[in-house]
Amino acid sequence: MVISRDVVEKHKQQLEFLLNMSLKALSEATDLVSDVSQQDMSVSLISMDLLPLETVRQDLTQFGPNMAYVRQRVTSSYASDLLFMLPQQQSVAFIESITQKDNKHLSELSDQEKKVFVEIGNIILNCFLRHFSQKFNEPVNSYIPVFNQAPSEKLLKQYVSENEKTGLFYIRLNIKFIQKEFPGYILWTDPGGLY
Amino acid sequence: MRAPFENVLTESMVFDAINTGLIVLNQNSEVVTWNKWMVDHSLIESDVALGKPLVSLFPDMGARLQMAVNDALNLRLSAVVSSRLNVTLLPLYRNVENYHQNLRIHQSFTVSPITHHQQKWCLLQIQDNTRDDFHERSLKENSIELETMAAKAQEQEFKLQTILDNTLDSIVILNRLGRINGFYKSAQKMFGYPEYELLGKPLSVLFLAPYNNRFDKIIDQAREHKTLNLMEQAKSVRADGEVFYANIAVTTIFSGEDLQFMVTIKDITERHLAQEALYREKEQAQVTLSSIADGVITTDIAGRVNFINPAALKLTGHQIQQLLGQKLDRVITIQSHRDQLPVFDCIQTGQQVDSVSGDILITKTGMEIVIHQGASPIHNQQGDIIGAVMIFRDVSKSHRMASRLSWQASHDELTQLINRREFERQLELVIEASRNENSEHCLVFLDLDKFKVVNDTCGHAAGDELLRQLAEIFKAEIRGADTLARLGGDEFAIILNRCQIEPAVTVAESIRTAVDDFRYGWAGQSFQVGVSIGLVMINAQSPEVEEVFKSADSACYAAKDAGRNRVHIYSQDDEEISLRRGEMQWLVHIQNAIDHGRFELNFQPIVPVFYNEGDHIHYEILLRMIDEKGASIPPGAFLPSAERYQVMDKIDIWVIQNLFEWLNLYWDFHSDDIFAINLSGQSLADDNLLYRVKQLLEEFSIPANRICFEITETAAIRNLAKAQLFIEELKQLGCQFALDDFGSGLSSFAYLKSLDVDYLKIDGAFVKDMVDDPIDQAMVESIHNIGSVLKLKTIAEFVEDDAILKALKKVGVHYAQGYGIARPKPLPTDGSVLFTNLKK
Repeated sequence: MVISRDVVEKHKQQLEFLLNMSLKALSEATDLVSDVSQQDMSVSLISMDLLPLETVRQDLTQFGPNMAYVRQRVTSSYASDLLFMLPQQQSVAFIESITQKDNKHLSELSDQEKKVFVEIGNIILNCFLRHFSQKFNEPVNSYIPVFNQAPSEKLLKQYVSENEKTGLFYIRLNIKFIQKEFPGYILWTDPGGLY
Repeated sequence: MRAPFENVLTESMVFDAINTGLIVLNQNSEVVTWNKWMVDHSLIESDVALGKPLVSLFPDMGARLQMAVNDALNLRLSAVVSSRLNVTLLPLYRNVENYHQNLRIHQSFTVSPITHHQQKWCLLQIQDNTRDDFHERSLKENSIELETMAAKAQEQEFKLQTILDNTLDSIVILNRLGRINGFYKSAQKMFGYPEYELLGKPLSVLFLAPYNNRFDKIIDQAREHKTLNLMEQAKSVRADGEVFYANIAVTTIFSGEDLQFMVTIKDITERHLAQEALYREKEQAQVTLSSIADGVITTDIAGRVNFINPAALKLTGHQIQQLLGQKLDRVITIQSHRDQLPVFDCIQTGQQVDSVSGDILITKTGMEIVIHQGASPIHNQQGDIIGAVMIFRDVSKSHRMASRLSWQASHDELTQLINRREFERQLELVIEASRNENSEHCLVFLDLDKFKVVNDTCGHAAGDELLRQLAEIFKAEIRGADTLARLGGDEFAIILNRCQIEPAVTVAESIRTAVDDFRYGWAGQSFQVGVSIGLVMINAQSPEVEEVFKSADSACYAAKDAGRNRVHIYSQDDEEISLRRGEMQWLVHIQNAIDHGRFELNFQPIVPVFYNEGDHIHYEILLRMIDEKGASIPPGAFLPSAERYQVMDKIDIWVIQNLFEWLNLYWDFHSDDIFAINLSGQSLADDNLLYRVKQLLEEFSIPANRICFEITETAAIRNLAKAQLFIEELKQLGCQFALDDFGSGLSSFAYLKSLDVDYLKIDGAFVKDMVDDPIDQAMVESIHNIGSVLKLKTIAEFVEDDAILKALKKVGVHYAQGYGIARPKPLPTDGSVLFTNLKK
């Protein structure tokens, strides 16, 4: 297959555009979470790309069997899912770092802690959607975010079509609260509007 | 705004019935719906709230909620907001009281965009999570506690499991039926079975009979009584069949209501084998100690007996029960010059006490045993003294023998008087005392008259008995402080201690008279003997021993010269008389005998004690002098003078030459008989003797292997180097050698290895009384044993009867010689056989 120079160049410009948008969205989300939780949070963007499903699957599975995630159903001219994910085994420590006022934690997240997790995911994802909507002038409609836990394999099977051809919008993050760092992921299962 | 069910049910009625807060905002963010829940919790009436922007109702509602509302209205984004994350939310209260206390409810919002007919609204749903939070917190605390407990329990179980798995001892758990329901890794390692193979099986599968059945029975009983605490040793068997020794501990344990048994199995094979080895070692040591002839007693540090072997029991005469646990010095009595027993010395000093002899053990029956004892401390592994061992043995026999040997060295066996050597020593002391103290003493020299008559007529035994009786007569005439000795032959001497000449003459005269009056009877005959006595005064001016002796000897000869049977006091003239009449006379006789052939060769057979066909006979060649009247003079009469005047070499050469001549003329050398010739010390010292013997062997064609030379041990030792050369040279030609009178000198054993001889002639003094005297028998045995070790043949002299011969056979002596076998006879000149009674 021959890829024309124009195509490559266009793709590069697209990624740069998305990268800028993502950085702004993350910056805004970081400020917002720090503000509401009164905890200093910083987020680094490790990588951002439009990747085939298989590549995303391989990348996610290396961090453990299960993922804790916040899913927001998004509809505009098309419907898709936007996910904020964290390895499940680190989710308790993640919430613990944010809600330091509560020093009692179980080995799994409680209902109220799940709500905190959902809200943080919601803040980050809404920042993305806000910027997306503004930049692309594309009206979106997001639904109430929900919390879930599942193996990454199952998660991808549930929200991503095996026939997905356009690639997944996949961001790897490093989230830091004071001294603790956590890997985070943002996945847009059908980012058609980005093309 | 109105809902479609206006006629039936108003929207507000529905909203008010909902137990969550509901707020609907229009495009301008103004409240259009404010349900009862909101009125109750915000304390803001709906008519107050409606139409007002939300931010005007709650100025401190927070940026986050405000942004969520804006996003919902403008971008149609949904959001969730909770007071768990957001520090500031709406001022909502459960009741007025909480309001006054400023206790806001825990709240969570869902903010959703609503679009209807191109119109955009925003719905805020608010939940009171206070109770949920409280419950969750409470639940969480309990859960955390449970989780902590579970973690601890898990940790403990892990630790226990780790311990059970890794302990060196095996742990096996049995259920109440005695079946295995826990077989930990430690047990799996020890026995080599995986757990699944043994689960449900009885404990007995791990043990050999009879232990296996025993354990099953014990557990059956324990089940009934619900208690068991058992510790046993057993033989276990591994999966591969290897058997090992094990310590088994079984205890009951309860798991809830269920009775179980915990079995701990420890592999003690190494310890068991070590114990067995130790036991064997101990047993071996006990057997060894029980077997040895020495007495062995061990004590603890307090000196209490804790072991005694049979030999010690036999020696002490005690029973073992009488000794064990008792202090050694209370139960064993030993007479010693020491303050205490060596055992106590070595406990106190930690030093070994060397063997000491001469202590006397008093047995239980009061018997005295001379013992040789020593002691050593016993240390434990740390080096501390924990007791001592005493080793002792009965040395009475050797002690008696040593005493006897010592006595023999200084005494005359026949008369029990001191001998010449001891007499000379005492005379020396007396001379020294007279010089130091200016005291006076008297030496009396006695020579019997007519003694030779008895000896020649009735034999040695009669002569010996006469000497014994005369010694008793002499003893009766002197004082206890005086010293009487037999110098040899028929010569005696007396030292009259602190005695001047007059009383000395009186004593001498009384002796002479007593002898004169004495009648000696033997074999029906009566003999009268006399005594010639010489006297010499000893004072500060007296010369040395030899001179004093010589003077006494001269005085005695003077007495004989004056007619015998009289007492003569020494004067200067006596020496001339002595020379003229005494020894010189013998010298003349000897020279005459040599010159005129008045020496005669006699022979005495020496026969094998155990005769075997082909054994050869020895003949000792003996010398006799024939006086002018034709009477035979025994060598004892003239040989001392011959030795004193250095003519023994001439006599020896005469004997050798005449024997060789006789052999050349009369002897058939086809027989294996051997002829033994006595050689004196003077001959051995003569450098010409060796040359002359070789010359004579050649001259008379004598086979050298038929000739044996007898050398007295004293002569050989006195001329050791020459004797060794003489022996070496003649042995190369085939001659044989015998050491004569062996045992009479104490140093014989030491020199024996230096002299390459073929025969040991045991001193007749030991042989003649060996049947009655165990000491003499022991001496004969010892000499024979020494000879056997050196591969020498032994010859016993003075074999006077069959009893002695029988005793010699028992000892194993090889040859015998004496009157009991054959008396000496002159060598025949008629070709007759020397001896035919060999198989007697």
